[in-house]
Amino acid sequence: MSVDPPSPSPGTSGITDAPKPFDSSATKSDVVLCSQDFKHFHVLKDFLSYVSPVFDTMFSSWEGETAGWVVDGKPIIQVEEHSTTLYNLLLFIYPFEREPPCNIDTCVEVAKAANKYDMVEIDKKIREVVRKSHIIGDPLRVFAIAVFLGWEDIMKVAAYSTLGVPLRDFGWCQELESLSAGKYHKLLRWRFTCHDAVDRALTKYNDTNFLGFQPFHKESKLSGAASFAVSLLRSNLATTGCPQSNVLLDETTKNTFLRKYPVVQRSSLYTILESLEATIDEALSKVCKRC
Amino acid sequence: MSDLPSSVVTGNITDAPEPFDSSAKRADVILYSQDSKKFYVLKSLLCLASPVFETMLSSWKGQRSDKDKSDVGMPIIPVEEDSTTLYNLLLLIYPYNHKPSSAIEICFGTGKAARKYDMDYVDKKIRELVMVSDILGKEPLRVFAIAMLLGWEDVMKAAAYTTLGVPLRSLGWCQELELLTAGDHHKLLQWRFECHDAVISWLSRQEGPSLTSRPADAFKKLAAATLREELKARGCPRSSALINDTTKATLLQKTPGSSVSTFYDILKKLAEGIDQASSEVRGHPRSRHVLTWIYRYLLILNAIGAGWSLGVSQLFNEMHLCAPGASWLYNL
Repeated sequence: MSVDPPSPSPGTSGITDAPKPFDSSATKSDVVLCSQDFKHFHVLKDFLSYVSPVFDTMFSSWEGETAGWVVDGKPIIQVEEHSTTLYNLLLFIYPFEREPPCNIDTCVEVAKAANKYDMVEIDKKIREVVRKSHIIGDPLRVFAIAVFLGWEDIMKVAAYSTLGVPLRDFGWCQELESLSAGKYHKLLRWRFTCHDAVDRALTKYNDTNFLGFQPFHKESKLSGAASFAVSLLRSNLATTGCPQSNVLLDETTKNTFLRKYPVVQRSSLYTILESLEATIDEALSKVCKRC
Repeated sequence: MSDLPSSVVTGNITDAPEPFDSSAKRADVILYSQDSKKFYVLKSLLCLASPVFETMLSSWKGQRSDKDKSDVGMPIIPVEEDSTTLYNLLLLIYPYNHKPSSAIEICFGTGKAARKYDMDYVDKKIRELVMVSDILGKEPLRVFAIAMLLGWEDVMKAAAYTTLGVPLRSLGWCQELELLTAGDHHKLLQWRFECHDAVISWLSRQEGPSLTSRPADAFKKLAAATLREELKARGCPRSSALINDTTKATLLQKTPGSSVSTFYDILKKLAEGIDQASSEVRGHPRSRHVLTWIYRYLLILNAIGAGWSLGVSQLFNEMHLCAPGASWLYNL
């Protein structure tokens, strides 16, 4: 970052206004950020100072006099970010009601910029957006990104989501090149631990069942149904290798199970399925706590 | 060339172990290891093995030992390697009968040093050492990682095939994995799945309708089916892992009273077929020598220009930058 403007001097046709609300009509703006692709963002110094110690230090070092180029009486700061990144970063900083970026690439770029300018609160806001939105399309990729950006919470969510994808469907992405093979290996190890934990929990569920510890399975038919459900889930686990309840208990499995016992009351069958789901999730949460 | 560390002055330097101690005959150069040991070596052998040392010694302006019989004294070359690495490296250069250690850490260390000093035939010797040692079977993933870092394509390939014989979850973590990228690991994993599929489909073809009802054909069919089940259960697309004592016992139990030798012949053919099937996955590896050369060039430049100040971490970075061995994986 420097106070110097880009090599083509201001006023040449290469420079344009940033999109609203950061164009030259922005009220009270007192500084101009020039993006990497030469767009002028008219912004408020105070907002930048407030969220970023880096900008704060810079502005306070100016002491009134500003060297370098000026537009409409406002000093120009050249930044390395692209206008899209800068636009979204500023949206996070400004108190406007705007849709946050809905794509992970933009979020990553904005987060990198936020880290660079030491905007701790903004980083939190971005994480929040990433966690809330359903942009976890490729969990492995998000995992790699989260490790790279040091987002531990997102990393856990992403790691959990990877469990739903069979190992051989893991896709390659550029971000894997910035992750160490050791981390990747640990993710695999953790997956196997989850796998074993779920398998053990299911087996145990079956055993407790046969001993009649669970009151609603006392009738032999229900007990048989429960152990059939367990065997379905275990074989699903063995074929897919995905220790996650929504993969193991997919619609096909549910239907197979329900069709097998047409005479048994539906509600008791659903109770079995629900308690199995709870068993899987509980086993996973125990492993997750340890990771 | 930097001056010797202060330990020389304080005097806690010791002689290297035999045969590189001060009693070494005709020694005319001293290599000074990172842990303050003096190796008395032959200049001619060093220069023969390494063009880097040759260049360096042709116009030596650095420190020399005290003048004694000769009028200038021996050149003292401080090197970054510790005495264990240096000792094993020198054993590979000298025509002695001492066997250098085949411990993986030492091979890694000497391998790095051999690369650094551009010692082609020493590098080849170390690779051979690794190939015949049992570390390949014990820690294939580790050997794979190291081979990839050092650009040992042949070792890397052998190690990759050995990993196929180990269940995925039994492949242990090792420090060297931190030096590879997740992308490298990912490619190995995906390649494994492709081998898995190739072996499965090859075995399925062996189960096809046999034309005769000869016991041999029936056995072949049964064996292929059994091995396919074993592969599905263990996920190891490698003959050594599939044809194990358990599967052999199961097969012999299922077909009692027939000629055992015929069965072993059939199993042997199946084993060959299995390994053939995985070796055919995406053709033969090719190497990209350009990268290796850039990498070497960088190392030599660094070694000469920066007066041997090339740190280990930097060395790794550069290796990673060019990842000479990675080409094998990228060509898959």
